[in-house]
Amino acid sequence: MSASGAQPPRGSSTPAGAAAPPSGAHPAAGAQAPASAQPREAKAVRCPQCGAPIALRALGQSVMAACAYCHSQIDVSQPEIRLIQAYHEREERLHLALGTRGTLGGQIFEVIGAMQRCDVASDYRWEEYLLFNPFVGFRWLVYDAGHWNLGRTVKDTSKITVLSDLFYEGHRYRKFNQGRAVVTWVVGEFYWRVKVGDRAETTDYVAPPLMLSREKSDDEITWTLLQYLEPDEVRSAFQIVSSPPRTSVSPNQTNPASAAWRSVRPVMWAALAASLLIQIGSAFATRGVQYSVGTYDFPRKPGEETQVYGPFSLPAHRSVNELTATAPLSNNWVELNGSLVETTTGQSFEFANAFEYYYGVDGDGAWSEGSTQGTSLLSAVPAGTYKLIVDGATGAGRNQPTSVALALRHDVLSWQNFWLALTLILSYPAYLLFRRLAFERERWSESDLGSHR
Amino acid sequence: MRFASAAPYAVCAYCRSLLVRRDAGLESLGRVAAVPEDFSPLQLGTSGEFDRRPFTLVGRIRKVWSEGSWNEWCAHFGDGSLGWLAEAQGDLVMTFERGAATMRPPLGASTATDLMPASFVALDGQRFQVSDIKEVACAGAEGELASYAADTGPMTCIDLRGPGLAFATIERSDALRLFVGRYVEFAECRFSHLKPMDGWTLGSSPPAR
Repeated sequence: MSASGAQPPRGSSTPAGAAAPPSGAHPAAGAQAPASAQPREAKAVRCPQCGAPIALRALGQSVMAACAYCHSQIDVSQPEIRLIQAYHEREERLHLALGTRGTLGGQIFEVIGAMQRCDVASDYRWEEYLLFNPFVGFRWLVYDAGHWNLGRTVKDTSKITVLSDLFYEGHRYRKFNQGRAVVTWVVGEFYWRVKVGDRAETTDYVAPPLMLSREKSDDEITWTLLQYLEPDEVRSAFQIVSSPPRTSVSPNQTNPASAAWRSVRPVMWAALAASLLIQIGSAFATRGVQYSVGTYDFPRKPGEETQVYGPFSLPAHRSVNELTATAPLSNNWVELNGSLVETTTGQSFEFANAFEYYYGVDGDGAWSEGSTQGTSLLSAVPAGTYKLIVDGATGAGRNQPTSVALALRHDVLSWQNFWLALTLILSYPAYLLFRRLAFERERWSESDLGSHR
Repeated sequence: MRFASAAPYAVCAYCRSLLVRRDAGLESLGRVAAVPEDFSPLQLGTSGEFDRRPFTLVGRIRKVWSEGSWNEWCAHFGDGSLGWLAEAQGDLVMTFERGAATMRPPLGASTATDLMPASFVALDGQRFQVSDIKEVACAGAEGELASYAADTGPMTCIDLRGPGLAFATIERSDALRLFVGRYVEFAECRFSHLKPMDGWTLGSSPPAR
């Protein structure tokens, strides 16, 4: 095939042969010519309808071809070419021009045929392009609402196992859609005779980014393995200027959150394990010494609010200390403010401990809220001897508590940092899982069989 | 005329005579048509391997039927045996001629005519199903051939699919012949001496512009 034959002019550029078609002087010229009479690769036949040359891109394999100028369908299975169906105007606009070459999966393919098919029940339409490479054979490029799939026929169908789900080469495929497809138009070369109106029962099984499509026609069952391609891949491979944006999720489109989730997952597990190990290590390292502190007695007259306890010896380095206050509250509140002060350095750790407890009976029955106990944590306290200084207040009235019992636990295990770490570690994976689920819901909302599970 | 293989038939590249080996020597069976040109990357002299056994393509028959055509390449193996590499619609199938007793029920005149699409037979103890029955003629031939259809006229070709990639063909004309083999991948054949294809390269390379 000559260089110009490999890339035939398209659009408005008209070759000389088409501008002045021979007026039947050479019917089917070249079709019956002996191989030696012309260069081996330049195989062109003339359209029986308009006389324009037709470059055959898969000579010897194709049984039908289309005239690029009048779009008549030609039977090229026999040396004497015949008209199958005459067209006089351009067919539907193709997303890929016949004769275009592109590299997909590291291999060059040429677009040699195209057909549009439609689902009988819903009138939903999609396009299927036949690709050819003499060293590789045929492939399919399927265009469907902004989505592209590269397909190849599965020869060894014994590897396909259909149970409630389908299993093929280590992947589990879920049944997605079932329907009846009919060919609505066809142009170009095909290795079998495609006719408008050809029907097939189709069943699609998905394992994104893969899809297995079963087609049953009157005389055969074929399986096609389809691989989802990102639109940019196809655009750059075939130099497509524009293709409509994706408006929906395709049955086997890659879930964008899945890849991110898979890359985050090991990091997440490692971080969870690390924080758990740190927490377990801390649990062994902490001693948890209990000091009885005494009680805070609410003063009967002003000026005695500040009360001092201790000294306590706190031997652990950078310890967490838990101050628990308990009062027999009855529809009242307690607020304790104070600090732990090192007796020699004067270093001070402040705390505020407020709690309240209310109860009663209303139309819905008995109720209560709050607690009769409050806890404060004093973190990163260096080893030393400390005094506890407490300033207290409570609600006045008949139910006023007289005292609050205080307890100090030295060197306890802190869960605060652990929960904070857990929240930080899990927030992004949780977001990704939510995104992934939302995408799958959208995918399966298009299925007439299953739902996301 | 030099024979590279023990094939009984050969087509003279100069006068296109079909020659057959007899005890006394070569005998001409008449002239045959040249193979119509096609886009096959295979050619006479292309070598490859099947199940690690190297072979060379020494001949070709172009077969046609009402809906298309395909190539059958005669593959000459190093041990002298001959196989057929069928090339159709981008698929390759390697088959070897087998005796009628390979089949259960044994291949005979009546069993061959009884076969209908979807009927089953056993070959080497495995189930094969008839996938296709078509009337076939020869459109041309070249090189050395293990058999030649032109001396028997048009024939009926019965294709069968077995488990996995298994494939078989029964040719029914004056004689009955059985060929059994399997689908092969282009890449697994590790071909060399392929026909140069203008604008196409084997393997990956940037698109031709």
